[in-house]
Amino acid sequence: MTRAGLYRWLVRRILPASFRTRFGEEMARAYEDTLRAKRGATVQRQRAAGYADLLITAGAEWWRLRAEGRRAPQANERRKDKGSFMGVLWQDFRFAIRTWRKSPRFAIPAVIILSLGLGATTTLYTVVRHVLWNPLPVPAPERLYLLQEVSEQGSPMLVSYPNFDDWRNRAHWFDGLAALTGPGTTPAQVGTDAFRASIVSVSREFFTVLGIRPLVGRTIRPAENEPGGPQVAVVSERLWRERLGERTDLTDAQLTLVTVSDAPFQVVGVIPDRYRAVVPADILLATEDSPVRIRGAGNYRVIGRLKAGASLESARAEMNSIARALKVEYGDAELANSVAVTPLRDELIGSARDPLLVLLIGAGVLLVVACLNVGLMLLARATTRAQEVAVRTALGASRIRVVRQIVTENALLALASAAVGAFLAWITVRAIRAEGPAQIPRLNELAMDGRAWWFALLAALCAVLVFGVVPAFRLARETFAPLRSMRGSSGSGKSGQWHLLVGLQAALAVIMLVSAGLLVRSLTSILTQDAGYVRDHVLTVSLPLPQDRYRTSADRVSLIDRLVGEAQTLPGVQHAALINQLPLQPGARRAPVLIPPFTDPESPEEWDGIAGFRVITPDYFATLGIPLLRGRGIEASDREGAPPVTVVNASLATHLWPGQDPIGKQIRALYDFRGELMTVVGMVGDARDWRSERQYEMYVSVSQRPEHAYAPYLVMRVAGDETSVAHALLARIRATDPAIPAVATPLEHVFRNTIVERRFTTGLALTFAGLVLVLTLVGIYGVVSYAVARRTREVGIRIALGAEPRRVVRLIQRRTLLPVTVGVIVGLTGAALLSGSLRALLYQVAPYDPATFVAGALLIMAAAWLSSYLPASRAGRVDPSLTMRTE
Amino acid sequence: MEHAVTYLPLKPDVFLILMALSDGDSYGYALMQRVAELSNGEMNLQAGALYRRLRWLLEEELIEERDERSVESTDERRRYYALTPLGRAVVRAEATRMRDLTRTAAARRLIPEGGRR
Repeated sequence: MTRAGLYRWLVRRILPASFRTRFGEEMARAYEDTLRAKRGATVQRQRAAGYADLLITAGAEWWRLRAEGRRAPQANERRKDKGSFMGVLWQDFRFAIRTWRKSPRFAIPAVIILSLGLGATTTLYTVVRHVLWNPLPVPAPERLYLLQEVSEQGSPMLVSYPNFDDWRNRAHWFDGLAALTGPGTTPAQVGTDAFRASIVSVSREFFTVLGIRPLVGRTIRPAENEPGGPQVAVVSERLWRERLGERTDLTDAQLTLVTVSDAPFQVVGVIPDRYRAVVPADILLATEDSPVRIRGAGNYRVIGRLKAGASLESARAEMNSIARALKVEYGDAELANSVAVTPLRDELIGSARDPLLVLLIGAGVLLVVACLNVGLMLLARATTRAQEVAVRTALGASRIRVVRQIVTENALLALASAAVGAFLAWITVRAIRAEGPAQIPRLNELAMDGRAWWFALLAALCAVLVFGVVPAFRLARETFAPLRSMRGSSGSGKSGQWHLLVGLQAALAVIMLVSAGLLVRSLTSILTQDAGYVRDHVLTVSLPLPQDRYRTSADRVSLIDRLVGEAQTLPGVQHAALINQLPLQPGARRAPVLIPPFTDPESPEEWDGIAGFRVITPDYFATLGIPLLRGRGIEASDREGAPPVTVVNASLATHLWPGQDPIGKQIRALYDFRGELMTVVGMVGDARDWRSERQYEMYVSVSQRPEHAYAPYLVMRVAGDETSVAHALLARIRATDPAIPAVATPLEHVFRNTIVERRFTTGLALTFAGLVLVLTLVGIYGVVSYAVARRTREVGIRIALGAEPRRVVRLIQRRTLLPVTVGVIVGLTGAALLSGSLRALLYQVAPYDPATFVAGALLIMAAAWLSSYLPASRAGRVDPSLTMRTE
Repeated sequence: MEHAVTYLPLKPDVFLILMALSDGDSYGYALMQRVAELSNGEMNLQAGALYRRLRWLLEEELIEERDERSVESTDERRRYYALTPLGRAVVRAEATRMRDLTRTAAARRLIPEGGRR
């Protein structure tokens, strides 16, 4: 069909007959004349305008006819229009609306069920698309890689500035390398407004390598990122809104950062919050005006943009050879041998990936169950519709016309559900954006965009295909059969389909329940397990000591002694102590440990284990309620100069000296730079982080190893109100040194923060499982009610012939519970096959946890029994005389 | 004709179509071009829009159909439309109404001297 032909074809089909016969031909000619007069690009524009105009004209004319038809029905007009495509569609559409309006008891539940499924799937689609597929809102994010040095033990490390500098000068396979420090916090001030803000410093190519565009102003210029350059800062959108009043003129926006420099920083630009996943800070400074030029001091995360068309393998090989060359050139055994080049995207998504995929599958299952459910309802309706269809076919409706009518009805159902479902998704997405865990990247900018709406529509159309078209064809095929018995009690052959659908639902419900059950059990075991220490009434205060003020170990020890002493005298404080890393701190310092004899402590073959290296003050064990099992704890007498001692936890003791008394044994930790052997003086219980299986720990005295206490935590056991103690203590710290940016957090909060992601996932999984369960029950209830209604006569006869009502009820229930049982068995098998993939999300629960499996199966069976009993019991109350009379 | 006033004010495109026809009978595409000319290119009617207006004008008997005749440039035959006396009266009445309005506006110095805008 030529293009002009298409216009004419449309004119013939979508315009009302009256208008078409009178003007159609003229219109088409006028349109063609206009096209002929246009040249070049304007032709396309004219064509688009022409088609738009044609659609508007068709709509307007049909509308007018309808309005006129209301005033004075024109039978002739109607009949003439029957043949045109739009006419038929319009007719079908109106008929469909009438049909649903007549049966709201069918239409409303169907729309609710479908929209739940669609809403859940659309929500998860939106989350997954934002978080997993596109976590980096920058150009060509797939070419961004994180470059990390790899230690001898194979664990990735931060990169030092001199190494980064050499990398960027030597690497050829990257368009550029950029470095940024890990986020820290700093006291900041704008005018008189003082606050605490997170801060990173970035190398000069940072903004260009990542492709970050400022919201206001500009980014840091390379010339400003030099020693002695002007002091400039870029701030986050959030800081700009909260502290700078969203001003677009930044000329007098100055930021004071006492801990960094005495002179204020000029704010030159604002970067949008959508980059938060890559730049997790409110203040960005130039790093190169004072980089730490120590080759061994890893400080930076390095991000590289691979050249377009370059292969990852060659880049990896190049980076490894650069690392080896540096090691030789500087003759430094501490330098890394190899460099890990991993996609930045994977690094950012991190642990969010598995749970989200599981949830996406869960939402998909919910949608499938919703479709099955509505399919069941439609099947039930089809039996009644069969008569109507047969009559219409007998009166001359063509088969395709009947199919079209039914498909239109179902499409209408799907469209309505898509609209409601998309609305539900919109609400949920907003809720997730507001409440979702901050650990998952980009959740804070989640939004239903055009693609999400399209997704909802597309999912709805697929649903129509699944549950709408098949029944339509089936109905049309049956044509005259139902006319033979006008009661519509035929269809015993359909029970196979019923059973299949019910069984399938039960199977899916079991899978969902078991999966959600496993997640819930994991969460409860995390919450209720004995971690080996007390969280209640424990307050933690982070004390990142400003490096410039506390340079020497002596400075630090005297400050720590003073602060711990002050904390102990505060009213309400029972115990107070200091530690370098909280029990739940991610990235806790870990050190390879060795017991004598050994020859080369650096060689991994000789290591006897890797243990957490914790530096504490004497009262630590009492503060956290960690039991002392043997020997003594760390004491005040364990000072600099005294023989170095350590306390090990029970796991480490049994690992290193199985069946022996650890007291008096000697141990060396590689992380302890002094290279001394330490004597074990005590053994304490394990204080465990739920995220690690087994944890070896060794504790040493702060006084003996103050070099490890540059950002320690004060921990306090508090009787009574934690808040007032926190206020009092922070006031004391400020009085001692206002430059210490201390932050107080209850230990319980620190713990809760480690499980927010898990709670989010488990909550959603549980919601989905619950919905699937409810839908399954509704489905079973509907099927049984329908079966009972259909077989009233049979039941009546049975009762009349002397069957006990109780037995009749049981008979009906048995017929439903059989497919449910089969479904449950299939579901249990499926759950067993699938739960292995949940393993990464489980905690102290086996993927084949029998209790969860049995509970899931029993729950479905019990619920199925109940939801079939209610309608079945109605059959038992059938009055035989009444049913016989209706025959 | 008193009757003509009941049609006022006219929609701008209707006014332009009637004005185009006041120059003489015309057919679809030519009318579209003429309307564009008369409005300094600001009113670009599409075919559907034009024929919807024409349908209304025919129903209201402001215009009438003439027999088909061939267009000078091509061999094709086109249906022509012409103003009825009522149509002529309506377009005049609208033009008068607009002239009065612009005079009122000018008296308030709302129209800059000598320029179009």
